[in-house]
Amino acid sequence: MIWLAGRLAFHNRARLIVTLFGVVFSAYLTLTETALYIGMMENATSVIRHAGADLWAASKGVQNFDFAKPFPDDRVKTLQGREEFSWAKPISLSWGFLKLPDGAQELVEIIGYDPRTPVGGPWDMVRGAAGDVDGGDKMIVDESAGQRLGELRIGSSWEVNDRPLELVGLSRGARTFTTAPIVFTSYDLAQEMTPDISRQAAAAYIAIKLRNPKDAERVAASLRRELKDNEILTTSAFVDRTVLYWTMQTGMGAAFCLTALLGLVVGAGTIGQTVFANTMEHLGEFATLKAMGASARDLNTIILAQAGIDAGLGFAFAAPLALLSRAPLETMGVTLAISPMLLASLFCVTLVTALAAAYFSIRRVRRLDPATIFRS
Amino acid sequence: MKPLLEARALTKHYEQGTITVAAVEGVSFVVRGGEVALIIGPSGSGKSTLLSMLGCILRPTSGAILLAGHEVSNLSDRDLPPIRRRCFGFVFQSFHLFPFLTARENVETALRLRKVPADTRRRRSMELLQGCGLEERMEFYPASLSGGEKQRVAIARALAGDPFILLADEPTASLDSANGELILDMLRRFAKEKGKAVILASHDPKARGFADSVYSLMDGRIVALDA
Repeated sequence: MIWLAGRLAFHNRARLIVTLFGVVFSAYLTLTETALYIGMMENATSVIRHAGADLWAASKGVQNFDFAKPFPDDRVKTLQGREEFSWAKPISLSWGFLKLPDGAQELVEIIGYDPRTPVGGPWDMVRGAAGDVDGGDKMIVDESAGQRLGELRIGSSWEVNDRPLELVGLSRGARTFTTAPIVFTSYDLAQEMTPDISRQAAAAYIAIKLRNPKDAERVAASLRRELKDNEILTTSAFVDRTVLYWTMQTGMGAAFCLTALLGLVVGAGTIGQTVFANTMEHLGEFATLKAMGASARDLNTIILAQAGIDAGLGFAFAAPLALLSRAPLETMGVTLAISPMLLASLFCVTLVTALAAAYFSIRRVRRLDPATIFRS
Repeated sequence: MKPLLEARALTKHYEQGTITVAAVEGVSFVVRGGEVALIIGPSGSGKSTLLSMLGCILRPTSGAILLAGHEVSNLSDRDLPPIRRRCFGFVFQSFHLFPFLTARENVETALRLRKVPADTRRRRSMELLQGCGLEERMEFYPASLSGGEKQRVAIARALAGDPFILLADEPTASLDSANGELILDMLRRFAKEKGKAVILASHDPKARGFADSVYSLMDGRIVALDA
């Protein structure tokens, strides 16, 4: 019966094209909105996810990675050298201004890390190495910052908080939710050049790697009892908290959800309307099929398959379009995180929505009296 | 020959507001294998309603329908489609071909409903269309066929599942005289050669010449029988 649905769907080409236009638009909207949201959340949590830590010690009440209150360095020493830790490394985080060649100032996020074990530093290098910031006034910035900062030449000098720093490397994929470029420097240099952190209180985070990552929850509970002024989070909890903050506190989540939902509704409406119009136009044929002994299952299959064909074709056009949009958007600093998983999930959502949209057609055909064909 | 189809005191009433309209009232008759039964009567006499009930499409208000001796009028809605698929072929005045399928595909649809394998489906539909003189028109869409050709495709489709009984509602009404006779002849040959039953509702006076028994219907009742 799927064959019959295909013939029915392709019979009226003009209608199919109009339907596909609507479905492609809606699937594209849903896909890009979701990918955009995921991309922004990946940016917001990129350092957390790539530091390789199992646990994070942060200041009490930390809401997201970008807004951290420094706490005393002596806590780092308290934690280092513990039997159950592979390592515990401090990471500093502050905000500063980078002077552009034309004299303008650009807000940047300064992350200080230990260059010898680059925990919290850049994880994917295009030029140079994460350890290159060791010893001296050096920095690494992400290649994506070129959009805002201009040409990023290795060896060039840039003023950050009025202190000249040499650009020694370019990273890839290190971005923030706020889109402010990240300046990676050594932990010591970050302390020196940032006015709001002192030698006594410089650590924004202590990233901890456990010998046995399965112990994360147990060790976290133990640390919470010990460090009462700190927040102890597992990496996944810190990622969740950051995502939740940007999603809920900024209203951004609602905006993205609404747009993605709107895409689905438009798609469902288009498919539902088309399948219903096709059904109404071919009620005689459905009545004939009923009279010929088609079961309710046969008839439902024809209707659902039509909706499936519309959804499948629409998505088949929308997905490559979204993938093609990635590169141009990337140059504008917008990340579209389109993974095979996302494509598969959204295809399923589109398909289920389309099948649900066929409900009214199914109901109409179920009520159709096959005896009508004897009267027409 | 044993009766293939038997109607016992078939009645169909419709409610129209507060009024009850009797479309068919107490109709009884028997149709045997190899027999062509003709139901005649003016418009509104209940011919189509009677055919719908005999074809297990419409449930009678009262009375019984026996198919090869088994009562089918009391079967559930779920059980009736398989009965229609296996036992009946339908031919309609307006052909009711699927406009988006070719003549061959239209015939194949009946076989698809019966889950016949693809190669058998194709072979059988081609044989049937050849038998109806449509070997040159198999890949034509209904819009490109004449009225007579459409009705022959409809007959091929109705015969595709090798039904026991063929129900034809005004099969010649949309056709010219020559094509009408051709169709009636095809239906009669089907009954005689295959030992199946054909029940025909028609205004066409020529149909009498092709029928073994004639039932005259008036206001839902059989008023004359010519067997």
